[in-house]
This record gives sequence, C-alpha cells and structure tokens, in this order.
Amino acid sequence: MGIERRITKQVEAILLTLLAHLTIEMSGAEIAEAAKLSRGTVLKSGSLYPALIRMEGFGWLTGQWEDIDPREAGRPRRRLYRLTGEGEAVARRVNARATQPVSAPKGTLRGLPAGGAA
Amino acid sequence: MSLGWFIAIAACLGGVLLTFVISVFTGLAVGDIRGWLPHVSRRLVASAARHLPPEMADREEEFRADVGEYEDRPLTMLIVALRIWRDGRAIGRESRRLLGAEPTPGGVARRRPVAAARRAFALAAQWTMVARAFRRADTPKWARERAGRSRKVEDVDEMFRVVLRNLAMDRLESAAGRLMTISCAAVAITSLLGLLGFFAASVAGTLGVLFGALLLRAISGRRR
Repeated sequence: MGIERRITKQVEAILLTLLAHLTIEMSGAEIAEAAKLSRGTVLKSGSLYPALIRMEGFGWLTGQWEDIDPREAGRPRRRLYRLTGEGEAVARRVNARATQPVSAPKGTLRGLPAGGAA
Repeated sequence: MSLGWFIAIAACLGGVLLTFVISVFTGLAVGDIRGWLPHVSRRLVASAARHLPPEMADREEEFRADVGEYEDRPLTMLIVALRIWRDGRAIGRESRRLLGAEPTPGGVARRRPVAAARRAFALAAQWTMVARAFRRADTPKWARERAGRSRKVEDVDEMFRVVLRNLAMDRLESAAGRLMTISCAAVAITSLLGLLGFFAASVAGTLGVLFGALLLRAISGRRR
C-alpha cells in the first residue's frame, strides 16, 4: 500500500530536530524533548510514534534497538533513530524552505499600495 | 478548672494528635503512591501497546523505555504514560494503516467513514419511520376515516417494534449505537411532541388575538 510522503508539522519537527543532532542517535522521548526545547513544537505521542514508523518506512530514518541486555541494565531497550542520507537531504530541503525569508505580496511594500509612498 | 477549659484543652490536644496522625499517614500514603506510579505507568503503556498490530508488538519496549526516561520524576512518568495510553488507539490505527492491515473489530472499525455512514443510514431509516408513524398518528380523525385508515395505535406499535428489533440487530453492534438509537427515538418523540405543542400554542395565540380584536371592534362599535 502506498503511503503519501506528506511533510506534516510533526514530520518537519522530527526531521529538523534530527538534522540538528546529526551525529547522535535519539530515542522518541529525546526527539520530543529536543523539539520542544529548540523549536517549541509539542510532539504528542499519538503523532510522534506513527510519524517515526512512517518515516522509517520511507527510508528517511533508521531505527535500531539499543545494544544492551535489558536484564543486566535493569531497563527496557530504547529504539534509537538517525537520519539516513535520503532523510538528511529531505531535512535540508525542509530547513532551507523554513529559513527562507517571506516575500511581500506582489506590488506592495509593507502594506503600501503599488507605486510607492509618494 | 471549669468544664469549658477542660473541653478547650482536650480539643487542642486532640487536634495536635489528629494532625500528627494525618501527617504520618499522608507521608506513608505519598511514599506508597510514589512506589505504585511506575507500576501504573507500565500497565498503561502495556494497555496502549495492545492496540498495536502483531508485527509491531515489540514497540511496547520502545514505549516503556521512553516512559522510563522519567524514572526519577514519577509524576511526569505517569503523565507521559497516560498520554501514550490516551493515544494508543491512534498509534495502533496509524500503524495498521501503514502496514495495510485490516483494522481489528471494535473502536478502530467504528470510526471509519463507511461504518459511520452505514450507521447513519440505519438510524435515518428509523427516523423516517418514527416521523411517518407520528404523521399518521397525528392525521385528523376525519381524514383517516375518509382515507379508510384508522391505524393510529397500530402504527405507533409497529414503530416501537421495529425500533426495538433494530436495537438487537447486528448492524448496531455497539452499546454506543444502541444508545444513539434510543436517544434518537427519544429526541424524535419529544421534538414531535414539542412541535405539536408549538403549533397548538401558535393556533391558540392567533385565535386569541383574533378574538380580542373582534371583541374590541364590537365594543367600540357599540360605544359609537
């Protein structure tokens, strides 16, 4: 079944958060925390986990179980995510679009009518 | 020492003792609750993970690990677990959609537009029937007799029989669906009764105004 590769607000936040932490792998909770701190985006669990699963399906992320023995560590394994090459390219495009300056509507400058302020 | 002083001192001592007992027990209870919170959180996450398709059942470990990141803050941990529990159905639904798997019977299927439309049709049929029965029941006697029909009681009986039969039907498998049907029938009955009341009041009001106008006219005619 083909899933539409739509970049929702949640997907954008995940992409940009992982782009900002390219060198490290992050768990879902860490991504949510970082997105909230750096971008002010609240990633609810209802949209975060499905988005992570979807993005893994697109090949934008790789998810790997933490390499620990849960019995020895006394806690469950985390699933750690990292951007793939394709995901990084998408994230950079999204980042470029997000940082692009917003142009004024054609023919107007700061609300002045076309033709200037004379 | 008077009895009043004695009662006041006893009340003070009782108050101090009660405060001490309450604070000790509150402390114990808070400690106990703090101990239970991680367990409650784990149960909530397990409950949310039940909505996941079998292929993704191992994701429960991911949820537990993410909730476990707040181990040192039991209340935050509980809140995060509650959020996952609340969104469990949505996570399961989305995961199934991604896998292209059939939704399990229950809440997931009921939210689908097709199921909602089917339910609406089932209810619409009942609405129509209720309205039809009331229209017939409300037809003036002379009109019914002229049409050769005197089925007021039979129609209402039939209406309730069919509504009750529909309540037990498979197409309204959920308790919510049944409740909706009952409330739908109740709303239909009350609204129709209300409508009849409104018409009766309107007719009575209009007649009253007309009668008053005629009376005033008659009085003023006599005076002249």
